[in-house]
Amino acid sequence: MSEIEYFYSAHSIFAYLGSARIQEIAKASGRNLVHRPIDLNQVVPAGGAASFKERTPKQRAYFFRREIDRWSEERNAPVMVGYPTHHYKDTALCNGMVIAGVVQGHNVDQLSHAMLQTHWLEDTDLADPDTLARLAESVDLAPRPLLDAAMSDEIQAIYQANTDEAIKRSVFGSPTYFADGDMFYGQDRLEMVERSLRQPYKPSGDPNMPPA
Amino acid sequence: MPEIEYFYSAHSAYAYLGSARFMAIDKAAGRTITHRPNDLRRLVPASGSTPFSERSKGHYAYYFRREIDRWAEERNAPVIVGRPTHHDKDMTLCNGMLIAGLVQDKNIDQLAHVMLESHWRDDSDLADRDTLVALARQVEMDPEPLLVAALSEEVQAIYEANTVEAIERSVFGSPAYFVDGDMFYGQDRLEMVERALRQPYAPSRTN
Repeated sequence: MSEIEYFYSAHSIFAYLGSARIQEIAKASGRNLVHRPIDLNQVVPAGGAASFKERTPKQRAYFFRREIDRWSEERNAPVMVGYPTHHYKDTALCNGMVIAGVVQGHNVDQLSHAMLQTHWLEDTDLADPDTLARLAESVDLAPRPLLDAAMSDEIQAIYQANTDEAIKRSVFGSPTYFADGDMFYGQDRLEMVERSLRQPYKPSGDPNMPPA
Repeated sequence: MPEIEYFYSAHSAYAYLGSARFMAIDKAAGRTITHRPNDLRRLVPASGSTPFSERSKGHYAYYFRREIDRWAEERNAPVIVGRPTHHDKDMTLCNGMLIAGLVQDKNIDQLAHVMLESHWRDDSDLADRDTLVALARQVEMDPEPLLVAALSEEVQAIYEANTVEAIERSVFGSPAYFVDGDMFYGQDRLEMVERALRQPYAPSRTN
């Protein structure tokens, strides 16, 4: 089965806002969603984007409040008021848990969705093993094998490889979707992902356009 | 009649890609477009966005080629291969010409559209007077009064005021649309503009 590659982090707001929709699109097109969790703390600066903390108050007000709220309404994906308490904690464990699920042959769609949704709706702490255990149980996955593997060398090497590959392939942030090699950055491109699966966009003639 | 405020520059790729769609949305909603051409080269750095010259190669390939090409297909708005030859010229005259049209009480919707379209589809030089004359005639406007006023103090003061106000109101680039105070940045938000005209999005709650 052909696939859609999905680069994101389990704590990413825009991955959350697009989460139900990408899964629906993948399902409708008969594609396998290939989860590739990445370390956003490495990918965002490497992509040349300003880190969240470097953005101006006006940018934050627009991109991290107004846009979140409007898209939340648009996607029917409710968010909490304010910013998640535990948002700046290390994401190696939760992203590692998703990768462990993939390595152990599970479908991680629902686990990933539960992480994203509870972080942004219920203010969950995705660095806390008990919280993650509860989330796995809520989607009928046994938490232990996943949590035991999450920080292993094998899984963390995949996490780093995903991150390195994202940087190499010009991923700017989370979420980013690849449909047959064509990159779509942002959940606001999901309708274009859907269209592209039906009919790919024409290739670009001049990939090396000089600076504007 | 209520309005939609439209901040852009006459040479902007994304303003072009959204131009026909925006006008169709506006017309269907029975609103007036309030054109606010501004100086993008001052606006972009002032808004906190990374200046074009500092963006990475990957950024260019995505935002200034792949995105343009896909949206051109999506919006049925053809673009030239490569980058417009005259893209780095001074845009004071063409943006001033649009503002002169407003000051002289003309509807400039079509003039704005043909500037954007000819620059990105036909590689036109928007700093060239003869080109601007031909574009005005194409939309059945008398070019002379517009070009005479374009660089006047009155018109240039409005251009400056538009730029300052855009910066003040958090416009990050071109195009940006305001519907009843709600800002939508980018032509990729036009479907949300359309929805906001039908039913405004709920206000954001603060902490």
